[in-house]
Order: sequence, then structure tokens, then C-alpha cells
Amino acid sequence: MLGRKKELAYPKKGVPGRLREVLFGYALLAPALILLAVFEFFPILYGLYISLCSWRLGCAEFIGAENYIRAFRDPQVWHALLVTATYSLMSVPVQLGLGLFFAYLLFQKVKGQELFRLIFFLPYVTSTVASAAVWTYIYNPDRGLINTVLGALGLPQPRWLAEPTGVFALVARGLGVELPAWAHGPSLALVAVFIYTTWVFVGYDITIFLAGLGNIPTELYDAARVDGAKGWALFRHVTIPLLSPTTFFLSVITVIGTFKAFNHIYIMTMGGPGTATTTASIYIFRQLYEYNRYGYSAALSFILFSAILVLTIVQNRVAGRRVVYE
Amino acid sequence: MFAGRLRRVLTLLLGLAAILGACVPQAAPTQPGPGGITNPPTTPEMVDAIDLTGKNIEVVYWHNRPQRDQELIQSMLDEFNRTNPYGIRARAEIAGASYNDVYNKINAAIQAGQPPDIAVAYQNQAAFYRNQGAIIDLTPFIKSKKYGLTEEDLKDYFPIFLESDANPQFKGERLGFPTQRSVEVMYYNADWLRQLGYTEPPRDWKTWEEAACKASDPANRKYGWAFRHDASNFASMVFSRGGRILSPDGSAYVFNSPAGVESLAMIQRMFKNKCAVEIPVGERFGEQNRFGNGEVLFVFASSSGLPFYREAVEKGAKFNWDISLPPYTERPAINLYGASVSVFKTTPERELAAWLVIKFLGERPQTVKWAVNTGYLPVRQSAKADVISAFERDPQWGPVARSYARIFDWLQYAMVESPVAGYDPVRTIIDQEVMSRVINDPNVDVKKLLDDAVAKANEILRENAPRSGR
Amino acid sequence: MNRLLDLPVVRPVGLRTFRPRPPAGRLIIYLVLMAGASLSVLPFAYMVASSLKSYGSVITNNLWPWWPLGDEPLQWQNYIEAVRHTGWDPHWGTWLMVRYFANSLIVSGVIVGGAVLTSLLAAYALSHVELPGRNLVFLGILATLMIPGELVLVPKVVMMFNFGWYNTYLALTVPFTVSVFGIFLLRQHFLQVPRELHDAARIDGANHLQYLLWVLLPLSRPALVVIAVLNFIWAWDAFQWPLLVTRDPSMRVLAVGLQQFMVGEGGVNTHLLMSFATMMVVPIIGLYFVAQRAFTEGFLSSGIKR
Repeated sequence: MLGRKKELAYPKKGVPGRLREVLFGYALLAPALILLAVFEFFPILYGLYISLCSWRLGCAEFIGAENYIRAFRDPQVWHALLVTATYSLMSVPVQLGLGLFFAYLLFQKVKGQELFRLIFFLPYVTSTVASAAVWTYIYNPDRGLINTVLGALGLPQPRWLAEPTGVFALVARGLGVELPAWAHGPSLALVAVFIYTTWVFVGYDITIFLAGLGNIPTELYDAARVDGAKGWALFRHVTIPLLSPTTFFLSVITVIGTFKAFNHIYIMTMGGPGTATTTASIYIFRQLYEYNRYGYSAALSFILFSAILVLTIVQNRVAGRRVVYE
Repeated sequence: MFAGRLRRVLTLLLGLAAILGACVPQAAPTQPGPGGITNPPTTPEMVDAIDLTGKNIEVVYWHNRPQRDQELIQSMLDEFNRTNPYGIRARAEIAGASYNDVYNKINAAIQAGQPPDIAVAYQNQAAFYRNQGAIIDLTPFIKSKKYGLTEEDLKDYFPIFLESDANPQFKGERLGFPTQRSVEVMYYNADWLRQLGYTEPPRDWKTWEEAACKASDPANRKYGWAFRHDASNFASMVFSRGGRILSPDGSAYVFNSPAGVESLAMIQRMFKNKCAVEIPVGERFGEQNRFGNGEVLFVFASSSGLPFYREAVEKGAKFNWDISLPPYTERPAINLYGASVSVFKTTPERELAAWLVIKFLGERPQTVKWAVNTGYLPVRQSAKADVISAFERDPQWGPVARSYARIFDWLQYAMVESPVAGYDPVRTIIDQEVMSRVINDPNVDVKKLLDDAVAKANEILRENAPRSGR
Repeated sequence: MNRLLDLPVVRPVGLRTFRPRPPAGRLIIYLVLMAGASLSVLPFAYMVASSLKSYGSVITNNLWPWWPLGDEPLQWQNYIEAVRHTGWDPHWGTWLMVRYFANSLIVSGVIVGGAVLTSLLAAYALSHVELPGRNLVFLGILATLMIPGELVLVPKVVMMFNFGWYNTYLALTVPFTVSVFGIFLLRQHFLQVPRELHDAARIDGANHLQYLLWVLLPLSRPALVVIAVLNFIWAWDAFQWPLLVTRDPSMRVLAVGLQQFMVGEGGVNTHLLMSFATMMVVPIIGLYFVAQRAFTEGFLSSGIKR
């Protein structure tokens, strides 16, 4: 550094100097904070107020926690949470697994790597409204692309987005076995939606994983090889632990995303068939727009928000012990 | 530690919420204005007393038709703007692509105190708006000597159309006025039916089910009936078996009657025997395209779809087709569709101007123009001849023009689903929790499904019952 | 509208070379990658193919009506037909489709500009200015990401009415000119810049703003590109909010136009719907192509390890 420590031009010494610094800082923050306050925080408070009311054009009656109690007693709420949780649980391992798989392949200094990455990222870049609309037609049981191809190959043609039966039950039926109701598994419709989401997000996961892979120093691999590790063992003992921050981050994002998922489900199934794909967001939307239960849907939204918050905190705790940093 | 801080923050937030809640704009109470006219006016005399001279009121009309119909409506309104003696200017706007979208938009607008002047609304949607005090009873306007309809005029309207707008939930208040109507008819592939050995479309459900199952050939993707996720299809079946969706006094849902059970059981059977195909929710108007392609024998859909079915068949498999009354057990029944136009509560002057626009749209030249261009039914009996002859002259309509003419004879059997507030969620329940279940599960107990659905529906009915003092 | 939370990504490093694999192994890798890539691209191909069919082919569900299995020509006019079908805008005297495009561009552009600006200022304040309580402020900002849209939807719509912003560009843009993702990303990025640089600048007499504009800004170009591109994409895709806060068809954005078309007549005219979808998708893909280099760099270089 420089030989002699010169006076820093700012922050000026003394209280006025510090005060100006603080004011300046908050002035910089002001646009963002004001916007967030007006358009995110205030509406939350307003929404909380609505949730404590029986709401018609205003608070017709202050009913306190009644909407919340009703939500806990409503079996459809639990069903919606179950569907959301299933959707989430499916998404994390598959999306991350595929993302890591392809990222690892791409990491092998393949030719045309940039082109591949571009292509994989395309679905993420595309507008959900457009791609969900296209996939709805791809999935059409009688006229869609998938079933037309399956039909040409003489394979059975499932009803995809229109099939409420669980996937395990369907497979078992194909083998002539009838499973008990609790073992049916997630509906094919939900799985079809999940396949779509995987298509959209794998590219994003690949990109993040590539970055994570690139961060692992070669010295660690060399050291491990010196100790006699090869191939799969290398992967298990070096790559995976050192990828854990990335993996953790992606799983948090995926869980939050699946809990908030709405647009594509609305376009593809509107929550159907029956309630097979009615996630929490779809259920809340229904209560708001169809039933016009403003207070109830506001309460449900808060419950959903809390669920997301809790899950994130839990993931943080669980991962805290397992995530490895340098 | 974190929990403690969190709790303090939350308490603070809750306090703020309570304070801020007081800033919510409240609906202003209405006092009688000058000249003793209340808002809304409650007697024809009050309406007569409204003075529109020099006010040059602008009336905005929210509808859900596509662009080319928007142009037609606006051209009709332009004529109104030119000819009305009060300087009223009317403007039409597409508020959404479906009735649902318009409904959502209007509800949001009502919440914020800025509804349109007039908008399309189904009777049950109108009831919902009325529940919030957002729309008005049109009876004083209709009966007004200066601005209303004469006895002759009223008689010219098809009585069943006018009746459908008198709402039982609100003591017969007229919450809307009809400018178009349609009915649910049975579209059928005449050539195919003849091939199967039937000389005329089935009149009873047993024959119909037989024909549909005969026609079905799942291996070749041909089916007798295209099932649509539309509660109105179910309602039509119930009507045709002598049942109802809602009790006549509007106090309870009754679609779990034997008529309902039989209708549902039939649907369940047809899917079990693969005589019907489900049109997925995502394949909008899929039944139309498949019908046009000769894949489906029977479809129940709105008569306003006539021009579209014609185009589909032309571009598709090109066969002879026609429409008929749906099958029935004892007495024919037909489901009356079509939203009316409602007037929103603003000021007496604007409400009157809005009414005059609606009145204009219902006059004979307008209703003829509208019907000819859209396939809807005209609302006046005197318009009937003009519309039919227009269709007959148009070579693209062909024999379907004759069928269109027959719809008017069927109007005597018309029935309305449920004009009470909160019916939309009930429709979803019927679709998702009743119909969708039976098409996928051949063994589920139909009666129990219906009973559960009716219980839920009645709860929604209670929730949306008119509040006292409105 | 927020699909991302934060990026824990890492410093730019060259790609590591593993020991070269045997040719057979390489071939398998290529095949698998090609399979994956084809699956990625297939829906787009389907979309474009369907947009070039005639209505007749749609009804008869003909998968491949062109040569060599059929003799139908490519229906390029579907695109024009889709534009015409959407209608005419009397306010600007042009096709509504043109208006939708313009609206989407205006709205996305303003949102991106606003988001970048507010993110820059806020991220700088949170990283380079000694502020009491700045960690709490940051956490508070982050927490907003977990809010489900439905929670704040109705209150926000009512606010638009109360402000008088209903059916204006203001309602479509202003609420989104703050990007929490952007603040986070830039803050990460700024935190990585060595303190010494800031000290050196201060010694030379530069104030905060000058340091931000002349030193940090050029260094952050990749991160800014990421923020800009992602916000643009999200704004281009949004439809629930614009649907609620606009009334005139002339105020619609493309996403709303597409959804309305699908709910209205597009369901029947699948070929037109697909044309519409293609027209909506192509610009975004084009934008991504152009910005790709800077975008990837920004993704990879703005990271933290934690």
C-alpha cells in the first residue's frame, strides 16, 4: 500500500460527518425502500387487515382469527398443501439431479458447449404463458404430439393432464395389480405439470451447477487422486460436498418456486382434473376470484407465506450442518 | 432470540395494520337528491323527473365479445350517439375474453368504487353485484312513462327472456335487461346418424345413449358424445328429466333429485362403456373441432356456436349436420343461456342514460343486426322473421337456417339454471367434484357425490344471501 | 414475478480439464446431450410447426400436412391472420398486435430501467456506506421475496384505483421498478470488490457517487446485464397483474393478449394461437442470444461462496 496513510476524503470525522454519511446512505436506499414499502409492505398489512374481516367492499365485520380457524378446519386446504408439498418433493431431486447430471456432462470440455447451454436455457427464457399454452396442446390425450407418437409406436396413451389417478396405481394396473388408495401416488396430471416445470428449470439449474463445479479447485481432486480415489469415489467425496452450497441454494429456490407456482398450472389444468393439481396458490386464487371470499383468501395467503418461511428456515437449519464451505 | 424480535415486529405490524385499515374508503351512504329522487330511483315517477338536458353523459359498456363484434357494437352505439336527443355518448369496450374475466374485472372495479356504467352479466353474477349494492333495479326505468318501454314494446320481447331477469333472490327486481339470448341445443352429425340406422335424432335418453354407444369406436378415435367440462351440460340433462338446479323460490339447491342422479349415472355409464370422450379443459372448443372432423356424433352446446360449427365442418370432414332439441323423458326442456346487461349504481342521471343505451340496443333494428352477425337469438318477436330470412338468404348457412328458425319454437321449453349470487363456485363444484369424478371412476356413488355437492352449494347460497337493509 | 432469490455463484474460473475420456465415452456424452437438447427444443419446434398449418389441418389433427406426407403449403399468412384477428387499435391507428408489442416494450423497458437504477443505489448503500441497521434492512428486503402474489394482489389493485393509475402505464410499471433480486445480486458483487479500491478512490478525493459511477459501474456490467435481461423477461411474461389493472385492449401487453386470445377464439384457431405465441417468444429469444455472453459472465462472476 502507500507509504504514508493519507486522510480519507470521507467519511468526515466527527458526528456531523457521520450523520451526513448516514443520511446519504438512506437517501440512496430511499427509492427502493419507498417502493417496497408502498407496494409490498403496506399491501401486506392491508391484506392482514382484510384477513381479519368478513370483507365486502370494506370490513363488514371484524371476525378476528375466524378465517384462520376455518382454514385449518377446511380439508381442501390440507389437500392443497399436500398437492403443493408433493409437487415440491418431486421437483427438488429430479430437477437438481438432472441439472447436475447435464452440468457434469457439459463440464467435460465438450465441443459446442456454449450452444448446448444456450439450448438448455431457452425454456427458462421463454414466456410461461406461451410455453404452457404450447405444452397444453402437446399433452392433449387425443390430438397431442406425445400421444400421437406413442400411438404410432403402439404404446398405451395416458391422458396426461386429464388423468387424476395416481402414477403408481396406473403402473400397477398395467401390471394387473390394484394398489390400495394410500399408495396411488401423485396424480398423472400433477406429474405432467411437473415434467413441464422440469423442462423449464433444468437449464437454469445446469447453469448454476456449472458455476458451482467451476469453483471446485483442482488441487482437491489431485489430492484425492493421490490418495487413490477414482471416478465415482471422486465424485462422491469431492464434488458433491463442495457443491453443497449450490445444491442447497437451488433446493431453497425450487421449494419456494413450487410453493408459489401459479401461472402454468392455471393455464394447463386450472387446478383440475377435480382437485388433482390444485396447489395452494390455485386454491387461494379460486377463493379470491370465484368465491369472492376476500377475507378467507387473505388468511390463506398468510398461511402459505408462513409455510414458505418455515420451510426455508428448516432447510437452512438442516443444511447448515451438511453444507460444506471452504 | 430471533423469535423474540419477530414477535415484537409482528405486534408492531398488527398495530399499524389496524390503524391503516381505517384509511380504507367506505361506500358513501345515499341520500335523496334534489327533487326527491333517490339513488337509485325507486319509482317510475322519480325516473320521469330526471332531467338529462345539457348533461352530455358518457356511458361505458363492458362486454366480452371479440374484436369484430366490438366494431359492430360501437357502430350501433355511434348511431345512438348521433340520434339521441340528450347528447349521451356511449362507448363499448372489451373488458375480457370471457364472462369470467369480465366478472373478475368488475368485482375489482367495484371494490375500488369505479364500476363501468353498464356491463354484461349473467343473472347470478348480477345478483352478486346487487348483494354489494353495486347495481340497480331496472323496473322503475322500464315502467317510466317518459323513458321506459310501452306495453306494446314489452309484449314484443320474448316473455321468457324478460322473466329470466326478474331475480327471485331480490324479490323480483330486474337486475338486467336482455340484449341477446341463446339456448343449449344438440348438434349432431346427420350423415353418421343415418349410417347407424336412425332416421331422426333421438328423442329420449335411452335411444340417445344407444346411438352414442353404437357410434363409438375408441380404436379409431370416434366417440358418440363429446363431454365438456361445463356444468350447463349437466343442468340441461337435469332439466330434460323434469328436474331443476335451484328450487323455484331460490332457497335451496336441488340438483341431487332423481333427475340429477339419473343424469349423472348416465354420464358415468357412458364413460365406463367408452361411448364418450372427455374434451380436456386446455382444449378450448375442442368439441367443435372434433365434431367438424367427424370424430364425434353428438355435442351439446350453445346455439350461438352455429356459425363456428358450420365453419368447422366445412374445413373438416364436410358432412350433413343439424341441431335439435336435446332428448327428454317426459317433457322437452332447453337451457336458456345468454347474459343480460346490468346498470351500475352511479348517479340517477347516469343510470338513466345507461338505461337508454340498453333500451336502444334492444330495439328491433339493432337486435336483428346483432343476431344476424353473431348467431344469437334476437330478443324481440318482431325481429324473428328478419333474422330467419337473412340466414335463409345466406348460402353458407344452408339447411341450418331452418333449424335456427325452429329454435324459436323451442323457446317455450326454456329453463334457467340458477340466477342467485354465488352460483359460479357451485358450477365449479359440479364440474370438478361431481362430473369429473364420475367420468374417471365407474364405481363411485353418484347419489353421495350429488348430496355432498348440494350441501356445499347450499352453504355458498347462505353465504351469499342478501344482507338486510340493502 | 420474482422467480429467483439470490445467486451464490462463484468467481470466474477457467473450466477445469479432466483427463481426456476415451472416444466411446465422449460419443455417449454427446448423444445424451443431444437427446437432452432435442427435448428442450421440441416444444418450440411444435409451436412453430403448428403456426404454419391451415385451419383444416388443425381440425383434422394432421401432424405433418406438408411435403413429403402431404401437399399443403406453409401457411405463412397465419401470422398476418393472427395480427388481423386480434383487432384494431383506434387510439394509435394501428393493429392491436402492434400496440401489444409496443406496450410490452415500453413496460418492460421502464421496469428494467427503474430496477437497474434502484438496485444500483440500494446495493451501493448496503455495501459501501456505513449505515446503522443495514443488515436488518437487507433482511427485510429479502423477506419480501417469499410473499405469494395473491396476498398482495387485491390491496395493490385497489391502490391503483385510489392513485388514479388504473389503465395507465404507471400501474403497469411503477410497482415493479424495484428488484429485490437486483439489489441482492449487485450487493454481492459490490461486496467482492476489494476495500482497497474504495480507499484509494477516497484518498484521491472521489465521493461516493463518483466512485459508484466511474469505478463500480463499469466493473459490474455483467451483473447489470443479468438484472436487466431477467427483469425484462419477467416483465414480458407477466399477465395476471396487467390483466387486472388495465381495461382497454389498447393498454394490454402481449402476455395478456395471448392469454385472452387463448381463452377467446384461440382455442379453436390453434394455428393462429401458435402464431401469436411464436411472435411473442421470438423477440425474447433474440434478446437472449444477443445478451448471452455478458449474461453468462454476469451469472458466473457475481458470486459469493456462501
